[in-house]
Amino acid sequence: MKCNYNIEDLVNLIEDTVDEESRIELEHHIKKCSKCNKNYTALKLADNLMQKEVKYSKDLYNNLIVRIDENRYKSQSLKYRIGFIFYKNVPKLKIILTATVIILLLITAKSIFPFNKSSINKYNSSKVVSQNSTTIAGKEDSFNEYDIESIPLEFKNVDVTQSIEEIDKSVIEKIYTEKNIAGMIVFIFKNSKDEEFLHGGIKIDGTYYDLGEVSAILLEEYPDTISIEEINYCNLKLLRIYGIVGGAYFGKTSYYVFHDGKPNNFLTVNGRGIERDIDNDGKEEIISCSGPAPYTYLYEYEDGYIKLSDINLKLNADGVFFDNDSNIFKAYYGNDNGKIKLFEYNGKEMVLVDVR
Amino acid sequence: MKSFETLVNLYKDKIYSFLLKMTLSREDSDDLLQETFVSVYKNLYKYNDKWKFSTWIYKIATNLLKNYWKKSKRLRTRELSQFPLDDLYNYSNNPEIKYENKENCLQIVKILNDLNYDYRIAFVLKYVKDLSIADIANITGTSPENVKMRIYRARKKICNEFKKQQKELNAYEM
Repeated sequence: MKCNYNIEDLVNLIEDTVDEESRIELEHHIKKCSKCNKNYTALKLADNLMQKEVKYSKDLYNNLIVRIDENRYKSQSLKYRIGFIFYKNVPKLKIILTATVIILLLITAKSIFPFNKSSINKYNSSKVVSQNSTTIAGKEDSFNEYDIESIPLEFKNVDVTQSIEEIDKSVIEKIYTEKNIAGMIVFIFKNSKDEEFLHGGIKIDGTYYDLGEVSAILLEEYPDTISIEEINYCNLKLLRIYGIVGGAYFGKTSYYVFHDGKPNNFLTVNGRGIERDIDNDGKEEIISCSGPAPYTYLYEYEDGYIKLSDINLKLNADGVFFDNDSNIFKAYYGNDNGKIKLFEYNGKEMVLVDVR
Repeated sequence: MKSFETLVNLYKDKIYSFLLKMTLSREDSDDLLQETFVSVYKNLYKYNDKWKFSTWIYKIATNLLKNYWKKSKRLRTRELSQFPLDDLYNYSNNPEIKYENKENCLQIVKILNDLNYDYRIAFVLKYVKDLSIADIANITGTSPENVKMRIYRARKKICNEFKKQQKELNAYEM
């Protein structure tokens, strides 16, 4: 007898998902068909076996309580609560973690590639825009190159009240060099009262004046270490004497002005004084720069007074060197991996133009 | 702890039946049942309500069972009488029918015991009332189609093996 039934049909019969007519027909067939009979028996027995639910007779809960460390896993315990909070917030934590990683990457990128407007406008003072000029008086320690691009300078008056004495010709022990400046004889001489320094002297209308200490060098051997010049400074005729007065070629520049045919001290600066209009305001500034870790001052002449600003202090730098060729102040920061910041003076502020 | 007790009482018989059908050993099922509920207790805070709770608890039991299966591969030639079959063949008063039924039941148990793990777990889980084919697929980590295919093959294997054993038995009796 040909059998048209398969396992699925028998399963449907066992699961009672066939209509009445089909069920009667199939049951009739199973009685006659040996193959379907065996299949049906096997599937029915397996089905009975699987349908059977076996009761668990032991006291499972109390057995479990013995095994479970209640103190450790009770819901009040800190570890459980932390674990609970952690697992419930895993999706939020993923977002926070991703955001944190992105922020850290941005910070790292910024520290590696410090984009700064001033670095683009390198050496081009006309293009440097002084943004958000921030007064940092008294806050030099908090100086930050990325949020401050210009530093206003503060000036204080210089005391130049020291007068110049007339001297008797007899104290002039020896004259080393002399120069005629506008009809006056300016000379460098050995003052019999001073064993250490050579003095500057000037003879005006037969009167001798002692201009003070100007050199500590034996000029017979090093005559080029002293210079005597007449200069124009802010519409004033000044006498400038530069000489070396200390070890390690520590220089000093003295400026003298003349009123009523008499010399007066105008200004004395450490190192070689440079007179130049670096802020293009029509008036020269004097810049002095001296020492192995250069210390730089900027002098302005205004309303008959000399004012000075301490550049090292304002820039909070370990050393500031004035580049004679580019008019750039190079500030050196030894504690910041030897970083060098370049500034220009615009008449009011030191403007950051580059960082190296 | 009260709610945990309720949970244990709700699921202990179902899980025990499932484990017994898989291991055919009361002792092993007992151990695995306790392991399952200890694990449920420890990991309750990890439960995600995107899962049905019954699916989650069967998943835990299945994971423990899988480890047991690997460890006890060589031990599965155990006594098959540990599964309570009495009520399955004791419905007749005729001793001959009773005997035949008992023999048939034991044969089916033996065939089930010889089924490979994948077919067997799909077949056993098919008879757990709370679980759909999709739930079984989640528990066993496969697709619903694959679950259906495994159940069909398990049935086919049961039928074929039963017929084979019946044939051998008839030949022996002749």
